[in-house]
Amino acid sequence: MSRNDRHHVPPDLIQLVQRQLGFPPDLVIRTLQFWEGPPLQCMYLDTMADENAVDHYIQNMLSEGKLMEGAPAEAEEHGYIRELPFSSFHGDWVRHLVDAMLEGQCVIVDTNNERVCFLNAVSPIDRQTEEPKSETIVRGPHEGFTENIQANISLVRKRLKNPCLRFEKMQIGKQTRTTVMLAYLENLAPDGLVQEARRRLKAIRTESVLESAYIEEYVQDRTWSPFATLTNTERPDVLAAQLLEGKIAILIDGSPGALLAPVTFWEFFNSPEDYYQRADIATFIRWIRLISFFTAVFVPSLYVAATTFHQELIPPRLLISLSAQREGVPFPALFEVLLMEVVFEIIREAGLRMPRAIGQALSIVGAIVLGQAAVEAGLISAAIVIVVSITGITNFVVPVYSFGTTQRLLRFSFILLAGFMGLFGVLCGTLFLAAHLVTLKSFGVPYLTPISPTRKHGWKDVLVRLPRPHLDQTGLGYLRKTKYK
Amino acid sequence: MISRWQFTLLINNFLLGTTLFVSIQALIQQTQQHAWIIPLWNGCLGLIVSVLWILLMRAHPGKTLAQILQEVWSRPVGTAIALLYFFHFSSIAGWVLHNMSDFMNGTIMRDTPKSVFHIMFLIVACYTVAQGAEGVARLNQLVTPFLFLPFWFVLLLAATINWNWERFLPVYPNEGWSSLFGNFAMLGYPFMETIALTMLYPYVKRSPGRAMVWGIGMAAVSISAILFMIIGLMGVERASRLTFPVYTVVQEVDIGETIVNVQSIISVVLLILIFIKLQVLIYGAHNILQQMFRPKTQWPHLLALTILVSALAVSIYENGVQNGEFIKQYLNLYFSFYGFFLPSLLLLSTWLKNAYRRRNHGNQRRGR
Amino acid sequence: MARHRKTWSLVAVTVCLSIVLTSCWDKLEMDELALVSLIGIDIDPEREITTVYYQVINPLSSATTQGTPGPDEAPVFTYQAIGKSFGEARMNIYKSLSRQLFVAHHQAVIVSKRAAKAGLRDLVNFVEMLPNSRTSTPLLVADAQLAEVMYSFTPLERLPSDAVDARLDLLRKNTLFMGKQIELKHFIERMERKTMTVHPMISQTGTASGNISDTSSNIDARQTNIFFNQGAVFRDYRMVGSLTAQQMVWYYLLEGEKGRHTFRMPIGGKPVTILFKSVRIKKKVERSPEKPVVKIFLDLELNSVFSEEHVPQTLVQARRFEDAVDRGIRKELHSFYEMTKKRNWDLLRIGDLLLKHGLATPENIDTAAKEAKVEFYVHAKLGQTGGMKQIYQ
Repeated sequence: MSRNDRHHVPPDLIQLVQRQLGFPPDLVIRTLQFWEGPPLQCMYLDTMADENAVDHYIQNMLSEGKLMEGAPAEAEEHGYIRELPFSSFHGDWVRHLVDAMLEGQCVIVDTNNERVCFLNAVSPIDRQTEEPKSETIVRGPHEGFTENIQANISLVRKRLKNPCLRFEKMQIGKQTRTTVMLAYLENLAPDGLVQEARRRLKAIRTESVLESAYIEEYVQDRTWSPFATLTNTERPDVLAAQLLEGKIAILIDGSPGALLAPVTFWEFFNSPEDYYQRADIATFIRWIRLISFFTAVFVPSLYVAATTFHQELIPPRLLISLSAQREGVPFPALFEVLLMEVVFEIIREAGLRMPRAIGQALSIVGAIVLGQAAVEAGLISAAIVIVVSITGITNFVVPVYSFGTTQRLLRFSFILLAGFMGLFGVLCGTLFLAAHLVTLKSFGVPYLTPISPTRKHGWKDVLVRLPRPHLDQTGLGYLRKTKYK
Repeated sequence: MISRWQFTLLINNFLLGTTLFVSIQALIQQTQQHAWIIPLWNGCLGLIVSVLWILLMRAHPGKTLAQILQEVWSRPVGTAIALLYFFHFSSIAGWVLHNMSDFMNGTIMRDTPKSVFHIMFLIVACYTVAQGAEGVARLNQLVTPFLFLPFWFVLLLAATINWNWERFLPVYPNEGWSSLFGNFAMLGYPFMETIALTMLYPYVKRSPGRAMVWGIGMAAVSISAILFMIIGLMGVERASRLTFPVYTVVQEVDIGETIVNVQSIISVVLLILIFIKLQVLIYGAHNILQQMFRPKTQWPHLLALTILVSALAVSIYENGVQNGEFIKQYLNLYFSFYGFFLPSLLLLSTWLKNAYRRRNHGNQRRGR
Repeated sequence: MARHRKTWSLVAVTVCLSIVLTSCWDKLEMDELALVSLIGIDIDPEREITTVYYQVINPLSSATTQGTPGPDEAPVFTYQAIGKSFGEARMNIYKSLSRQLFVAHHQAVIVSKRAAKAGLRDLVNFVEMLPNSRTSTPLLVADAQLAEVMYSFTPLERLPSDAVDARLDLLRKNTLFMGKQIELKHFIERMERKTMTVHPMISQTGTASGNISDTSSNIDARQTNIFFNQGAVFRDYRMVGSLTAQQMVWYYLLEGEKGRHTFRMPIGGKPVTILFKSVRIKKKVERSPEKPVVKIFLDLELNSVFSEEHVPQTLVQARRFEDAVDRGIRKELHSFYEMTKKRNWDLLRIGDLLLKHGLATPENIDTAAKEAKVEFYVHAKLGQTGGMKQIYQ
């Protein structure tokens, strides 16, 4: 076909499109007959396009029969709405129509005059905006993202009425062709960061993108690390706040979770509530979270180390009591702790998928079986139950859920190390972890900023949360000093 | 790139390293109540020697010790001497590991074979060294508060219970001050070992010389303060006889009756100091290899270094008695060779070369 | 082979990691520990036999989830090990003890009188040499047979070590019968500095009973109890004598210990019980042409809460009261000092004081101490009065 032919609308366009889509049941083809001229075909997928909007457009065409805004002069006599200018389109008509229809647009084909019009009537099935279940707060907005990227963008735009707010659209995923948006504030985000993000997104070669995690695994700095270098959120206010700090956000169509980068270790302990409450309580709660992190990771291993290697650490009365509890218990302390941790994980997993009706019964069974019966049967000692419960509860204190998985992985490694070499093993593990954290980078920002490369102004929001007049208002903070190539 | 404060902390922790475990008993035995003056005095001498190194590094900006050797003394001779330094650092690393495993075997974990301690520490050290100088310095900066705060907290707590100023009074009042200034027990070890930090010198962002001086000063004051505390808490009679006075001091602390026997925690915390010393030495050795042979991948060298150092660690000395003898009689001389003699030769050669070059340049300009 | 290099290296690493599966060398489960609460040492100097007693806690002796223990469950068991030296005895214990010795939480070390008289230098060396032993536990001397003390229970406290520890604590904090420096490490320091020290002595009242039901079912707490009534005086690692309880009070008073003591003495012809508390002690050395004079200034605070015989009504009476106390205590202190001088014991550490001020040398320290003149100046002040301003006559 010659070049001109590429812009040529084939006469059997409708049939080609139908065949391409595989004669789906939701494909609607309407023939519009006007009082003059040949009939027009109107095609759309009724699951993706809003039928009412389509009807409305068509009604307007029939009743008004006059020019709509922005119509080219030659359409005057036909009274149609705008057409797509040919120069912006290169490629295959069939492909283009199919893509548009899959997005939810309605196409009106005029085979005789070889013209195609696109009506934007996109309105897929969607859910109401509601607060995300995993990021609830007491005081503050209760809106959350939904699976519709247009709605999400509007939620963000509502909060950042800034002309510098940029959204760059990409389509990632060969099979799913998911729309992905890169969002940033042009006057605040460093150029190098934006370019780096763009480069990484464009370099993704994958078949499908269904959730933000798919993108995260391609874009993250280090694959084999238990620590996430991007955070995710379902709250538009969090996203807006992070954009104001100069970060970039990645929104994915079909998923309410948005990715944010770069992120430091200390930001996983920040919750939006820190900023919606007063500074003193925010500081206190932040410390609780840090202590919970250390508890969740280190307490079982310290228990194993103290009871099997360094019994002199335990005060005398407690030692007698623990000794008494261990009389008759068949398993060594390490095995007990591992067993109880695994059982706790199983209960947690089961609880996630348990139908609500049975959930109550399961929690009772779990408590009684694990708590009372196992101890009384002499399978485990009572102290282990306490240790595991404390660990399990503190595991969920961290605001970002994905960080909880990090804690679990670390906890198991430390338990094994403690069982192997006591406090020396825990020390080696801690040093290894510290060495790993210290050299981990998230989009060029060292992971432990502002503690490790010490940035004094960043201290205002790490271990304490200073009142707002003292905080760094322009955002950026450590981003300002990061060098991008 | 390392910041100035990170470099200072690194030098401080490096010098404190195994000193707290090895030298205290012998020093108190020799100098009794005035043992706390010796680190300050030897620290001053160490500072003077460090000025030598700073001059050397300033004469070759941006280059590490191995590169300077190759530049000043031609590639084959420079490589040979660099290899000497490589073995020097490796043997000190092995020595440090053996000190550590001696301590662990003698106090809290008595049955574990020594090699297990060595290899575990070496694995972590090699992982950190593979991340580069930044990793080494940042790790040190991160762990330093967790190191000093518990240790000093426990020491000060012990001081509120146990302090006795009378322990500083000399038993026999006629003692000569000259004997103190003739005591160089601490000069070779640890102050001469700081040559290993010249491998990290070029990576410091600003004024590394000043950072080095500060670091050595801080370390001397810290060691002196710790010795002071030990004498005040335990008295000379016991401190000069116990193998690990720091361990025993900490053993006797109890807070209420709940937090007892914290010696396991504190000794594990102090092991971090040993780890940092080991890390710097491994980094030095590894970097010498990198700069001499410029390999494409790091991990074969690191693996070989691990095997070499763990073998050295097991065989470097037989027992504490031999170690003590060596330190008393030969150490200062041995370390001064690497820490003083070779660098001063290097500096001299640099100056001569520069003078020669300037003269030649002058001759050329005059059109000869 | 070269193609599968990564696989082979992973296999090699996994094989090397199997070292983790070997038995962890220092691992010790808690039910393999013998928790030692009291240690007893006896040395027979003629036959050169060292006997070490370890009192091991029975973990099932306290209430746990398994239920409360039966009335006949012994809370402690005492094991005995015999050897020619401490090291040997320590190894021989495993011939009878079924668990690993764990001495980190022991509460006291009791030595027999004959061991104390023979000399404790070996014990001290042994304890300091062992890596896990602590010297921060009290050193006590057994007045009776050591075996009696180690093999008997005490009323009220299920663990005898608790009885010892609690009692030492109470006596230390509230009275002058005991000082703070009774631990093994203080013993070592004093001996090394060539000064003398006093450690409490344990005696047995009634009959020693190794049967818990005897002790727990008997109302009479005198029958099977231990008590502290004397102090053992040590010089150069050897016990050279003992002090009565009253003498210990004066000793600790002069040591500068803070504590209270009730004392009955004649005031105005009538015996009155007074409670005094030591506030401050200061020792001054004055050089004089013949021999140095050591002046000891003692400040006491009086409390008439126990003085059921007499309560001063006027200021004059109060002053008289105080003066009488001054004189009485001075007299007691002086007689205590004379007693020590007679026995050649420098319990007031005069020699050290003179050495510090340069008035004696290490060689002639004993003679200088003996020759020095010691003067006591006591200043008592009436502080708190009791609940009655006037007694019933």
